[in-house]
This record gives sequence, structure tokens and C-alpha cells, in this order.
Amino acid sequence: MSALIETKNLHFQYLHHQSQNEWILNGIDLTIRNGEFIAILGSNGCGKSTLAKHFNALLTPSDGTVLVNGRDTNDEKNQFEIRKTIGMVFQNPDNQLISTIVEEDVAFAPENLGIAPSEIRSRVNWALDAVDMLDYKRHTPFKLSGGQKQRVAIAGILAMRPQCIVLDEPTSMLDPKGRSDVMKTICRLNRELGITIVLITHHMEEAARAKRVILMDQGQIASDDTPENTFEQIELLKKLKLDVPQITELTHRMRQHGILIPKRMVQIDQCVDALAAALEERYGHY
Amino acid sequence: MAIIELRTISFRYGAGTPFEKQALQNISLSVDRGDFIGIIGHTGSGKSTLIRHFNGLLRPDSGQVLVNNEDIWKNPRQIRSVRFQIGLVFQYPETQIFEDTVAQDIAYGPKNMGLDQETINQRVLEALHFVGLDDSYLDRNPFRMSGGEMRRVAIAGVMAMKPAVLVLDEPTAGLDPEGRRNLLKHIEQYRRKTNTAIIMVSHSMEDIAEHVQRVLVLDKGKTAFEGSVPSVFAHADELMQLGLDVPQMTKVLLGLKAKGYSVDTSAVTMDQAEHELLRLFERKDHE
Repeated sequence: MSALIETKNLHFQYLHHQSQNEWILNGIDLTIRNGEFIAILGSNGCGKSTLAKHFNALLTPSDGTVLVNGRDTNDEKNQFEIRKTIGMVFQNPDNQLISTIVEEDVAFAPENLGIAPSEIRSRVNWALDAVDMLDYKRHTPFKLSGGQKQRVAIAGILAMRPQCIVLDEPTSMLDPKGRSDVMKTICRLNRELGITIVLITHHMEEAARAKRVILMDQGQIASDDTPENTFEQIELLKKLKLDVPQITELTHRMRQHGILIPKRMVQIDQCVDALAAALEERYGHY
Repeated sequence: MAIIELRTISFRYGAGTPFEKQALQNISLSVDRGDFIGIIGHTGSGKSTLIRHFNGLLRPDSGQVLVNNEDIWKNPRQIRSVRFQIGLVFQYPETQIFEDTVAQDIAYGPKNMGLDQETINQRVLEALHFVGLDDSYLDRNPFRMSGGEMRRVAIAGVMAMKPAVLVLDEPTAGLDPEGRRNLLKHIEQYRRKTNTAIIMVSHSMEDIAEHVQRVLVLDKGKTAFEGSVPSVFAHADELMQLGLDVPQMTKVLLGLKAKGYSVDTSAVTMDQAEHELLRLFERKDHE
């Protein structure tokens, strides 16, 4: 897999020439390859949103470099191309929708890219279909639920045909159904369309669905591993003021009671299967 | 005796216009001192409309809201005094902070109650401690604090009015795991120390499972379920259909039940689930 985003010794502070403050990002070396599904976790103020804004040149490094498809984000000539490649979705869906009709909203980006109208129409339909919102294309976004709005926002990004979508806490304002619909959409985009996903979240259960989890602490990367390995590092997670997914904690406790189920579990189904297997092994088929 | 009681309240938005919408229908709820009550429901189910009835921000079309056994709308001119007794903390309350120092911001409520300066100072300190911040915060600028700290200051501002009931609309949204844990811990301690009733709207089934005693489930403005936490989460299928969820631990037990194991699925917290699973493993030892 080729490198999509590469940060090298990335440092950042607002107005860093005048500022006496510590670096918000303090030497980040990170490579994100095409097709990956990455979750970034960290306590409030650890720099994860600041890092995300470097991926599509909303912010540029104070020191070090960020390359997107080999293009330096510091070079203004590259920024248009970079923002087409990497789309961003933010926390509050109300701040991201601008049109009074869903399909118009989704068409906003391709219109700005100067794409032919017939092509725009097919992209809008495709994008709304991909997030399962095609039935709502003539609706007004303001009457949709939070989860639906957030999926329309994702469709708006998709219509640019980006290689990567960066989502900054996309579910924190949503109800359980909205959260689960948005997460399903994100996973499907990665699995079926091969779109690279960078998901910033406070929910350990959501991070557990990624293939790679990055833990951040005070502007640095504290860990970069699979979710299974990441959530085994209980001490580190506690130190970084994070949580262990409940499933991981439950399996951990069961093991302490001498019940032999595998370590490194993050999903409910896995856990149920493992518990059933352990019961069966002990007592034969139920 | 109930401190606050809703008697079959109904409410319509835009009554008499083409946009009329039935937002609440025949909701009843009784809250005693020291109760910890959770309200869940999907977006648009009427949660926010409901909590605006607790302190008279909205007036029901029919039904009554009783505080200390008295209809709060008996004398609409005195509705202001109800707002001091029932403290309402909206979603993202930190956006409502406007004073230059933490002390002034927390003092805003008590000052409006017409209390003397000495009492105000005392209440500010007390409230600050309730949310787990120390005296060094008093003179700090709230706008230079982290989101979690700002939120705690905003909540302290309501606590400083010493309400008999504290209503919180999604108090932990957007906080990191430790911020969430911390805030809920302090709310729980505050409840125990002051015997204030807490009503909490939340989208986190785990937080509801861990902290509250009773749950009210709203759907399309009606009460879908009401009762103890295990009794409500026992309706897993129906809750999912309402766009809600059950706690992860309950899901694990339901998964085992679906595989044919005779397991009690009323556990909602980690400790309860652990206990129930051990029972399952051990009981079979004696068979």
C-alpha cells in the first residue's frame, strides 16, 4: 500500500514565533497508507484535532513537513488538490450543512470543483446512496435527525471523490441509533469503497472497530497498534485518561477468575462466542 | 412526598397553526428528594421539551406540574421562584458562560436570587468544590480553561442556587472518558451530600446503567417505558426499535441467552455482569 499522508517531525503551535507556549504537536512521525481505517484517541487537549487539521492543510506545520500523495501541504499551490483528496467531517452537523435541500448541499463541493452538471447529478446520487440517504434527497436537512444530517455531511464530502475522509468526533452529538448508523456508514465506505478513514473519537467501542489505533498524549504519539493490542495496555490507557472498552475489561476480569477465554477482545460478538466456547469446553455441549 | 410531580402533561408546539406538532402526550412522573432519574429517547422524542416543563420554561396545554405539591402555574407571575428551586443545565452549558472570572460566573445565579454577599461567596465556594475544582480557580478566566473545566463551572453556577432538583441535559457529551467519569462521580457525590434529586438526559446507556435508579423512556412524546434500570433494559428488542440501545454488558448476556444458556439478563453494569457470568460458570460446576 502506498503512503497517502506522511508527517515528518511535525511540530505545531499557533503563532509559534511569538508564542512562549509548549508545542501543541511535538514531533509527530506518522504514515497513513491508502485504504487504512485508523482511530485516533486521546484526552481533551492532547492535540488530536490539531493533527487532523494538518491532514488537509487547514493548518500547516510550524516545523517539519506533511506530505499528501507526496505533495507538501506548506506549498499553497498544492492545497486545492490536497483538499480534494482529503475531506473532513466535524462534530456538529448543523455547522456543516448550508443548503435548504439535501441534494443541493451534497452538490456544493462538486459544483465548486467545476464539474459538469450531468456528472454532478450522478455523483450526488451515488454519494447519497453510499450513506443510505437517497430517499431524502429532496428533503430539507434541517428537519433530519442528527445522525441523518451527519450522513448527509459525509455524502457532501464523498461527492468530491476523496481518497480519505477525516472525521473529528462525528458521533458525539448523536443518539444511539444515529451513532450506530454513522459508524456503519464509515465502516462500509472503508470496506467497500476502499476509502481511507481517520476517525477521531472518545468512544473506545468505536475505536475498536478500526484496524489501527493511535493514542496521543501531549502532542506526541504514545502508541500505534492494532485495537486488540492497544486495549491490552490498560496501564497506559489509564495514564492517558482513557478507558478500556467494556468488553475488554470484562474478558480481563473473567481471565482473572481463571476462565480461559482469549485475550485481546474488543467486540461483543467475539466475547459472546468466546464465553460460549469456554462454557462448552468445560461442560460439553449445552 | 414528591418534590416534583408531572400529572399527565401534554404539550403542542405551534398550536392552531399549520405547523402544529404534538410534542408530549400524557407524561406522568414523580420525583422524590435524592432520586437519580434518567431520561432516554432518540432525537426528537421530546426529551428537551419535557425538561423545559420542569421549571416552567414551557407551560403544558393540559395536565399539571407540581413542585412541593403546588401547581407551578397557579400563579404565573411567580414562575420565577420555581426556576430557583428546579435548576436546569442545558446541553453544552459552557457556551452560556459570560463573566470574566469563575467566581463571578458562579455567583450570577445566587446574586439574582437577591442573596447577601457573604452567603453568595459561601455558595460559590461550596459549588466549586462540588464539581471538584479548588479555590485556585476562583479568579481564573473561564474562557482560558479546558472544555471539561468550563462545563463544570457552568454546572456549579446552577448548583450555587441550591435547587431541590438538578436537571442535566446530556452533561457528558463531548467529554473525554476521564472527564465523563469525573463529572458523573461529582454529580453523584453532590446528590448524596445534599439529597438533591438529579434528573439526567443521556444518550449513553452505560452511564444510565451505572448511575441512575429509575429510567423514563420517551418515544414520540409518549412514555414508552418507565421503571428501574434492569426492568427497562429488559426490553432490549423494543428499545432497539425505538432507536435506543442497551448497555454492552446486557448485550453480552443477551447473546449468551440467545445461544441457549439460562442466564439472568438483568445485569446492566460491569460488576453485575461479572457476577452473573461467574454464577453461570460456577453453578454448572455443581451439576
